[in-house]
Amino acid sequence: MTRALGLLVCLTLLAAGQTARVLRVPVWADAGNGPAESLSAGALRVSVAGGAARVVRVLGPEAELLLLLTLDMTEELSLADLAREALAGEIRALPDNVYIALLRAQDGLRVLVDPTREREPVLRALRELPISGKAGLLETLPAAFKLADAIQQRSAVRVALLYVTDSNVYNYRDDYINPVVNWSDQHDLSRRFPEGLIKEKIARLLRQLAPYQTPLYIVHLNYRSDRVNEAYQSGLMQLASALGGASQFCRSRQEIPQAVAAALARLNRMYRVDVEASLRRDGNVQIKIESEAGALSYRDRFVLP
Amino acid sequence: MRFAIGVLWAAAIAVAQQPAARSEIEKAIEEFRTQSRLLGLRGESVGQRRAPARPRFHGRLFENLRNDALDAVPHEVRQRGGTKSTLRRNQFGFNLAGPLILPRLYHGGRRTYFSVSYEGMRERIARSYLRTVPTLPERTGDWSRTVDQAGNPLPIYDPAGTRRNPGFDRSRPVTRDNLEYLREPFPGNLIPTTRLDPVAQRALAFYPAPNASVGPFFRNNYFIHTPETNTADGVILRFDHTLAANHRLTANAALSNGFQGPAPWFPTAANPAPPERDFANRRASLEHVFTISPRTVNSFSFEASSNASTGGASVRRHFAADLGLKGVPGEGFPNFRFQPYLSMGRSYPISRTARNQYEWTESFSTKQGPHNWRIVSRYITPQVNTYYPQYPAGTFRFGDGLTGLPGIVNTGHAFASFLLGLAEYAEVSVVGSPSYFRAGTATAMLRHSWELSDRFTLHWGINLDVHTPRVEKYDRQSTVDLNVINPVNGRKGALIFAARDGNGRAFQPVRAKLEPSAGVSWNPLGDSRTVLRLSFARGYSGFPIYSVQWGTQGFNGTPTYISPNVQLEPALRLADGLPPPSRPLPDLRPEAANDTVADLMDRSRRQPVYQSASLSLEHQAPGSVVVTIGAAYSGGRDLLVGNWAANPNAIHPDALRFRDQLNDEQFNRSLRPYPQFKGFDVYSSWPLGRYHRDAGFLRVEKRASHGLTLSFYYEFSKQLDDYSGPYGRQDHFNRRNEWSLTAYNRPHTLSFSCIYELPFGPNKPLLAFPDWRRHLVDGWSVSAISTYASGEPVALRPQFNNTGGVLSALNVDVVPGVNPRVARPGPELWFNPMAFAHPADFSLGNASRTHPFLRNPANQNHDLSLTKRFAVGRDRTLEFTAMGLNFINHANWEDPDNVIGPAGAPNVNAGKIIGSRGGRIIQLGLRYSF
Repeated sequence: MTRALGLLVCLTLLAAGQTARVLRVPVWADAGNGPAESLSAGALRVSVAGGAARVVRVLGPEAELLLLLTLDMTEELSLADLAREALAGEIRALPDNVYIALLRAQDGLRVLVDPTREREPVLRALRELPISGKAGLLETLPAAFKLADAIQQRSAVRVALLYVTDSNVYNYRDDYINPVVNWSDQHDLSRRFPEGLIKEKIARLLRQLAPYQTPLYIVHLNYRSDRVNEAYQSGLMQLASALGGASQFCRSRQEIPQAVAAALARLNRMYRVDVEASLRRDGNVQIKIESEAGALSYRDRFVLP
Repeated sequence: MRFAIGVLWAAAIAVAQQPAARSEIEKAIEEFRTQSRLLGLRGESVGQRRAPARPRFHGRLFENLRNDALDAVPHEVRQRGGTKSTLRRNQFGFNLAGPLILPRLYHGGRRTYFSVSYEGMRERIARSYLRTVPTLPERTGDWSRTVDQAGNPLPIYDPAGTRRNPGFDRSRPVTRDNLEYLREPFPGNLIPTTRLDPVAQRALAFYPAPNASVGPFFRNNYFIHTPETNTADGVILRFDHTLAANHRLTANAALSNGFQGPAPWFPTAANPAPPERDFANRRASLEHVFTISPRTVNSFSFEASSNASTGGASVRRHFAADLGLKGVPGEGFPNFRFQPYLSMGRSYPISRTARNQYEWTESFSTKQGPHNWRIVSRYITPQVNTYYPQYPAGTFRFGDGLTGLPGIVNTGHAFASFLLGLAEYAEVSVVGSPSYFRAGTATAMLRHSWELSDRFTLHWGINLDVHTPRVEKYDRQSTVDLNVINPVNGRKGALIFAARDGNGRAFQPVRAKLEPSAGVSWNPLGDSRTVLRLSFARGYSGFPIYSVQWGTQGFNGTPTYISPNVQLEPALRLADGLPPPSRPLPDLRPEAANDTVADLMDRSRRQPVYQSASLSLEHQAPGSVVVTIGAAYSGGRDLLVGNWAANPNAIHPDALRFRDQLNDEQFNRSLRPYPQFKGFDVYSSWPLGRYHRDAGFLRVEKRASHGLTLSFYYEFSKQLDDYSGPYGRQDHFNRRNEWSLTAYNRPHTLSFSCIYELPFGPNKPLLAFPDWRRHLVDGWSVSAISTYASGEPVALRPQFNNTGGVLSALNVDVVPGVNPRVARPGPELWFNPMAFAHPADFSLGNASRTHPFLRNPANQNHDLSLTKRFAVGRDRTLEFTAMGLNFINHANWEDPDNVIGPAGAPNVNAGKIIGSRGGRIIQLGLRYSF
């Protein structure tokens, strides 16, 4: 009888173009910068696209966190070294439930160290990572998200992507800067707003990555003030923000250790809240999560593939 | 029973053999390994070759379109009654990038990546200028209606009847009451047709008639509104190749061919506008980066570039012969100059140049503890191969002296002198062969950055720059040596030649200079959001190699014809043509440059030096706002200046006391330090300029995560120098007196820019429609740039320069007690011309070269770009852009008329603005990205 009823509900949902979907929402319980509260499934009220939804699972800071730490450092030795030192210090201090996989993004995404809670292999690879090549952040994001989301789907662990980069939009293999081709063309106005290509790339990435549910953090070591890099950096902010994470841009050397520490601390405090809801097969959904324990910050918009 | 026991035993064994349930993190790690393998992220080092399953190519196709149907009619065209300004422009191209794959030969995989871009451009774009040409009666010799700038009749005198005035009193200055020479005006101010020069008459067939009447007094009567035609096609190729884990190669190549057809000013061969030009730009570079260790990187690069241009293919005809102008050796239309009217013919009508450069750079960077070191060595060899005759068909200058009353300004007219065929100066460029100039610069750089603490970093550096001077491949170069005795007059100053008579191949010394720089960055309050930066740098620049064949006299000739007295006797008559050259080329005598404007190189050890210092404080305020405030100083000395600001053969202004006697060429030359030369051409290569600039600035940047970036920048600056400006130095012997505001100094500049990705659409905060409406609201972005700059200082000049050639630039006089400002500056009157006076004959003006507080009108411009993107699948985009340049159609005023006339004939237009420029331009763009 129960099976028959379940089958009937499923058929009804399918007829209405809806299906049961699970959203993995990164949540922080310290939105007001106050002390982190402990969250439980029962204490959360969740609605998805205006309708009720069920909290399937809550993984808090005590659960395992698989951090995909991706380095994309090609420019200045001194800044990269400072970032390496800061990362090494923070990694040593991370609790045992944090597993780190180390990847590099220069010239395409590559695994340097498989996920491990041993710190030494990560620190060794970090020390030995050369600072050269072409920036790879934009080109490697789709693969990194595919990897991270696959892990989230198959296992009940918290997963986060952290990019540490000093990338310069002028140092990509792909052309985002539209360099002058004809020097004798004196009336070219197409380069008056040179940020067009990078804006288009960011918009395309936003569209490509929107269906993924892993939060993205970016620590940029060297904020640049020229117009194309401004657009690039603004685009990175948009990406991180839209994908449930955040970004930090360092304008001076002194900011680098703080930015690295802040990013890792925040990722460590992340909750993974799995929410089940009956949803259309594709489209955008808005999610709302409330807790009696206090204000929450979370990714509130998802695009279903 | 036995069966049951057997089943239970088997079950027990099965349970015992089952692996223990995996933990979630183990599942995660396993999935990481599986997925990273499937995605091709592991199992190989960077240098290993591995082809991805499906190579991914990216790129774009685009077209940008401009058409006058979309634009506002420019203000300057509308003001002349025009309703259209031709504009047709198409810019198109593509880019393709991805792994390099040569079917059956090579699969670049991750190792070799390429990018190729092509861009083409086809354009016709109208240009407009307002100029003055002779009236139709003037062309026939009828000057009866011609007036001066005050509206008074302008008398034209007959030079044929010139005679000494027996009653002239030498003790008194020349005035209308005390004339040194007597000369009668043409009866009725009509030049008899029999007196008109036949060459000039033939040349006038190439000269257009007036087509406008803006005025005043027949001035501004020729409105040019013709299109220029340009084309260009270019390709950029780029390859990135990873040799091994620590070795990387990058190769670039760029090729571009272009054609520039400037807007013709005349529809005839006498067109004075720049000639048509074909361009060929080539560039190739190779860079190898070797990552020696995680903290040590070495790179080596080589770059070769060639920029060639060929001009004047369409004027390769012997027009002088057509005009009956004898003795002119070269092709092109002769250049006839008769200010204030538009001249005929052009300078550099035919040319062929190639600027090649080869550059080697080796760079080594390492970090050891808190120390960062960078050592760079660079060698650059610029080459200029050039055939660049300035006046192959001759230049003929006409003045008002020969048709005026000798010694009396505001009489006679240069064009009347032309009608009579009486040139006051003529010169021909005879270039026997191209020049092949070579030079070199070697630089060694050391940079050190020392992280003294978390909050304090010190960096310093030093460059050693070695400039080797210009040589000519075949030693065909020369200069005047100011210490060599000239055999003709026994005075110092004679031509010397490279690699002859004990001279080296170069005339200038090898210059080696140390260039220090230093700076600190400091977080003063221990707060990483606040940074104080302080920097200092000092540098030297080399002597550039220009495209002209300057410094080759003797190998190339410039026969020069000079009037003995520009008020009494012509240098030559057009009807007689040019005398035959006295000697064939090459003429390698020390006196070969005598009686010409001789090319002179600075042979001292002076070198342009620049110095700068800056201080800034940057603070990140809440709300992603960054505020930077700062101050900067820069200065320089021994900066390279040209003939307008350097004249080693200048006559001291004290000689003005000789008054009209200075018009006698022989007497005039006798006062010069090097009388054997008419003058010197230092061609923007004389190290004599000095400047000082102070500036303060404020920058506010707003960054936000919602796709909005705002930036605001304001700068206040004051820059002074002793050389800049449109007219040059008045007194070469008192540089201190030339110290005034830099001619292009704009004290207030303000800019605002924003980039905004509108927050509408899926996965965005607003209007996140899930249905068809998302196609309408998603993908909009706006960019804007606005600039404002206050005006440059007003540079006034007197109508006449009656100083006997002693002063090449003359300032005006200040009228004491008269306010130069007007209550409400506007086009009717921008400044008060009554505050200035024309200086008396043979005297210096007492105003500064540029006015200390009067400024030309400010300029502003506002550009906007609106973009809409349409998603085509997940990976492709169609993007439409509408760009509005000067989108509010703002008109910027032209500069006011800056000419101050004499008291008897004031310039009625002085201080007035006669128009404005600018107009909205729309460009539409379509781009498909994949």
